[in-house]
Amino acid sequence: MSYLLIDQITKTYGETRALDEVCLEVARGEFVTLLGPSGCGKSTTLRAVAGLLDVDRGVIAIDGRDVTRVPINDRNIGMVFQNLALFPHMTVAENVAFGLRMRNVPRSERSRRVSEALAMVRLAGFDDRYPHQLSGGQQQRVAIARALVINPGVLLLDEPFSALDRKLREEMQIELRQITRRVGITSIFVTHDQEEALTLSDRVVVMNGGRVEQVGAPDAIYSRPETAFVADFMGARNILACRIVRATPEEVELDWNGVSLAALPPRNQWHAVDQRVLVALRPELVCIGSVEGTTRNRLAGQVAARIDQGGFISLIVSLVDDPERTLTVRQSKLDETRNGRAAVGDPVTVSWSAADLVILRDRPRDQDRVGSPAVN
Amino acid sequence: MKAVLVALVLMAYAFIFAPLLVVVVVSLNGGTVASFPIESWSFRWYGAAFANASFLNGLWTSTWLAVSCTIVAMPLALMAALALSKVEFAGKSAVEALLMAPLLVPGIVIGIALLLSASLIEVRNAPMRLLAAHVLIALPYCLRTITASLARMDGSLIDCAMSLGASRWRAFIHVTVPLLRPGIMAGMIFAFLQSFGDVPVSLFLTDARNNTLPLAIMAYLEYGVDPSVAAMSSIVTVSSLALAVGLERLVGLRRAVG
Amino acid sequence: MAPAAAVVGLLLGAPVALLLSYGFAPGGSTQADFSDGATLENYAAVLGDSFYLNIILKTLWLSLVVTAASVVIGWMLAYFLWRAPERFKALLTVAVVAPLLVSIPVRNYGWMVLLGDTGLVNIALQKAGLVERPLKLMFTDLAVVIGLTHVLMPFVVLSVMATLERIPANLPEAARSLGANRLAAVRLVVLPLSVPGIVAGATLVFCVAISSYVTPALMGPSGAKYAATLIYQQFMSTFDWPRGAAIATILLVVTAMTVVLGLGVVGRRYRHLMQAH
Repeated sequence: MSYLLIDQITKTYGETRALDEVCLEVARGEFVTLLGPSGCGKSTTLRAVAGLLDVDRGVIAIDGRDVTRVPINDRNIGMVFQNLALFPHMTVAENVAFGLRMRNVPRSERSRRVSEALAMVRLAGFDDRYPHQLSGGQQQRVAIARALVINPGVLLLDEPFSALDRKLREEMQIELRQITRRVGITSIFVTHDQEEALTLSDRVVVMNGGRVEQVGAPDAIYSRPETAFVADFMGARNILACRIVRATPEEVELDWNGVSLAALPPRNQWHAVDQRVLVALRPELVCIGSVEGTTRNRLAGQVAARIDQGGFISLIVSLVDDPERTLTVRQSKLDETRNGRAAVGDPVTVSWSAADLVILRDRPRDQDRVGSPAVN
Repeated sequence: MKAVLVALVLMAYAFIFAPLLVVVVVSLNGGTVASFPIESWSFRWYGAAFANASFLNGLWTSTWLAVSCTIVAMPLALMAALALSKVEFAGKSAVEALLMAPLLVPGIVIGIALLLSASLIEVRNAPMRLLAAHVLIALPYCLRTITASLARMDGSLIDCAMSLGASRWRAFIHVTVPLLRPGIMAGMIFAFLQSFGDVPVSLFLTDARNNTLPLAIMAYLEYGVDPSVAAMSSIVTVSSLALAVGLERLVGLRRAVG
Repeated sequence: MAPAAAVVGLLLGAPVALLLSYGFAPGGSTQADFSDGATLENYAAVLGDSFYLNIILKTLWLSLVVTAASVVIGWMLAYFLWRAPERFKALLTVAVVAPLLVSIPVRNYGWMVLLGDTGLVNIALQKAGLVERPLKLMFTDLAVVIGLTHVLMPFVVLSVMATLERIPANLPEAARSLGANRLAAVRLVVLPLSVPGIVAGATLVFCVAISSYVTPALMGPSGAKYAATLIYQQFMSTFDWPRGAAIATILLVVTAMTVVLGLGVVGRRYRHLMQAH
């Protein structure tokens, strides 16, 4: 039984569909992240769950209760806003107590719970300070305490860490997870930063253009993307259009421009011979040189560019079998010294193992993309 | 709850516009009295207004005063605004306060202070007195809009122009002035309206031959209420509102006024 | 910059100084005769005599009423405009602010027509059978209050709107997410944060109201019953200029004190609120 149910919610603004039949079920205590580029609908979904906007169609239910038409202040949610939205004219304690005040909690119990909440976010003793006297990280923690002290059904976080510097952000991420696990609260987190999503979540929901592209555990999203968008967004940006030659339970054999490729059969997908599909491959999983003993998953090419990215090197390799296509290969500098440095113009062979080639759900369009010169 | 707010707001708007609308309605009254009920409709009071010598005199005086003081005040304000924006010096905020002071000092105080001074140094020439007073009133309004425009102007544009070979003067003419144009025009419109509609300062400085329109209207109101004053008032109202809309288009009314 | 400063200094600074000096001269004429030295007799007369004192106090009291009314109406309009959809916002705001530019006698005249014995209000009341004879609404203190509120209320709107726009939009949202209904969100979050704007607007309205001449002259009871009309009378009919100067100086002092109080109080207490995120 899902604790939070989002069922086919749709929201249209004029000509644009901000949300297009979005569905999601979240279990009690789960930490789910909505991930995607700007405008994908993740914030809109969060605001719909919060009650800050009304959906045109669909149902939102929290703990079995239909809250679709319930106003925000009756949904018993706790929300942390992008720029925190702390009340500047109230002290820290008054900020945190606000939700309790709205629920007519008696004063003595209020102060007890506020103290507990502040202690939980390691801000004990800060009761009488004002928000403008606190650092960014401290303000963050007040916002979290304020949202949690009321024991909401769902905790909603709208890119709360996007304004923090890297170090602080990482600290806050760890702290947030500790707190949500300890309290056992169901959480929905919105971000455009994939690293953050992968670090924090039990499950990740990748969204694009108002639709859900894929839902899954971080590892699944990362290693086994299902659509070209997810593959590209998560960095598996070598995408080839192939034709299925043979499909067995053990492996799927594909043909790309006469070259033979192999991939593991994906779960939950059914493929027929001669079907055209897209496959994706992470640049980090492509090797320079041949893998011993295989004749498939090997392409010949020429180094078109070499980009130094600090700890990593990216090579753009143009492919012999289709000179308009390129493959991006990424390796650590260490590997590069071991394997020998490839210079621009050198002919190379690139290869990978079948387990790393992912078959996507999408069908190729006429102008299918294969890899891209841009490097993450 | 929202309905209550909307109802109250509608009442507030009615409060704002009722007097203005009523004047227009009354000005079209065919009868002889500026009150209700309205029996017939007619434009004759507009004709009567323009035949009224004191109104015409007032209209003439107010117009030339407003135009002249704006023309005099604007360059002064422009120079001051430019200087204030460029240079930092001790006492700068004091100078700024001084230049804005006419806004804070009550109109009536300005009026009698000028009357005292004028009589002390025996300035009998009413137009001169009035002009000086109105320049004083107009100055801060011009200054405020120009300063606001200047603040929003990107200072690096001047540097850029000069890097391309323009002298300081030419950069001023070709870059600064065009960019300031909305602020300058807004200031002039605003100053014009303030001067045109002024009462407390002009009150003490007019004489029989040089009377401003608002004062003429006030005097008329003490005697009778025939609709010609309504006609004149309607004309003032409509043209002021039209200029206000013009101000809004130029710089945004809120920036000009406050 | 120097010419502008010179103009203001010459046309304002010097004359006002002159005015102040007149207050210290013996009264009774249009001259300031200091041959017997400066004197405080004008101030003694004005502040000691119940006639003058009552006028000043009444002016202050009525101005307070006008300020209160302007703040209430003005705040409500400012809130409404702040929340108004973008499409209509500009038009509705212009509608509130534009009348500020119409000459005051013209605006007051409208009220004279509305509130007169044969005015619209009385006719409506009579038609509705609520009164038998026309209510005397014109030429009363009430009329002055109405007229001044009408003229000055937009200043409050402007001032409060400026403050409201500095409130991040998601503060009321945050309050609602914590369980506050709309009214509580406004009362506990929006209103406290708009106080600097309220104080600034109220200060402006009060200062203008106490020294207002036109509206009391046109719409108030006859005779010099208000500070500004009293001053006018002293200068233009009684010809006791020093006395008039003294009253004007009192007005000036009250204005200055109000400004210092209003902006000083606001500045200090709410400085931290003015620092936006």
